[in-house]
Amino acid sequence: MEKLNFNEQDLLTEIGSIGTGHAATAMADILGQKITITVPHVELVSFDRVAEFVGGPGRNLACIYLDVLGDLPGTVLVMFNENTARRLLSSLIPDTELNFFELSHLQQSALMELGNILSGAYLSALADFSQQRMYLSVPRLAVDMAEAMLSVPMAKLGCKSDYALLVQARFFEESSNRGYILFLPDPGAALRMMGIFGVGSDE
Amino acid sequence: MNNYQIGMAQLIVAKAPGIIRSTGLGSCIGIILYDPFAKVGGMAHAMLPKHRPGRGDNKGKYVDTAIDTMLEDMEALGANRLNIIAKLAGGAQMFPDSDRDSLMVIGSKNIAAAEEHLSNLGIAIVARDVGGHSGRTLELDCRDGTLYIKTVSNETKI
Repeated sequence: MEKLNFNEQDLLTEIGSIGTGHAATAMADILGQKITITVPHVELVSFDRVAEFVGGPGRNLACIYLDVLGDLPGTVLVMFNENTARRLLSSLIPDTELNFFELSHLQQSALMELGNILSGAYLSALADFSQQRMYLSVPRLAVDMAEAMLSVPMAKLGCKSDYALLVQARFFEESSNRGYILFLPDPGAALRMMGIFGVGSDE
Repeated sequence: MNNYQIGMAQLIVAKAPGIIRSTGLGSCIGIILYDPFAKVGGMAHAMLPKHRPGRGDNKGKYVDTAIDTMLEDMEALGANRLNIIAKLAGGAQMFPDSDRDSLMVIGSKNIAAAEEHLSNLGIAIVARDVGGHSGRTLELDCRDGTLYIKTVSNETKI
């Protein structure tokens, strides 16, 4: 697969919308505030371009990494910039002092749990919709440059492909607050998804 | 100024006074080759240890094909293979390890693959800043081969 046709693009945007809608609801419930989320951006991109979709390769972010297992394997990444991580943590843990690059165990656990809940909501919606079994690995957390953290899921995809299929949505609208949820289906899973929904590639 | 920027799975070679930068190497390995006499340098931001047929043909993606391609490109710019030295930076483990997950240790596999391939080619590794748990941003000055390395909390040069 080197290019998505119109139907594939459409299907993935729809799937992404269902997932992100549920994730946004879950997040709004936890935080007790309204969450804005963008329509997903779907694109097949070369590895050097992936970081553009989370604000650039050198952008410092907190990243929660989860492997997707089951019928449609892949990776989910939930990423927050420092302002957003601060805002989220202060509503979960009142009076918390925060050093973004040296988070306490409690702060790390809270962020991982948040990533877990968002990804869980995202994927259970997708699993229901597609009638496929999907489950998540335990979450892992890193706070570093975007490109450096993206290297891990890209290495997983790189074994099979020169491109990453990216389903990206952005949380929050204010410019200082940024959150991202990235779904990266493995190449085989993407094809399987097209098959399930009867969207064939143009031969 | 001749400034070049490369991303994941890319490589480039340049002559002095060129500067080659790459931002945010995590588990990827930065392989730097330099001929101090011809003042020709190269940098690769490689993702995976070894090329295998049928895994795509992007030369910069794999440690071995990236090194081979850089050597050819540097010779085309006037470098002599016998004078070329190497520096390595990157190969971090970005996320905490779990039981039996080989993906999380891809960084150390990339380091080992670079060491092995360079040793097979008889190219000396004169400096390295590898492993750990932090991403690195690299900048190679092709005038003297100095490699500047930045992490979120530190700066160094090798």
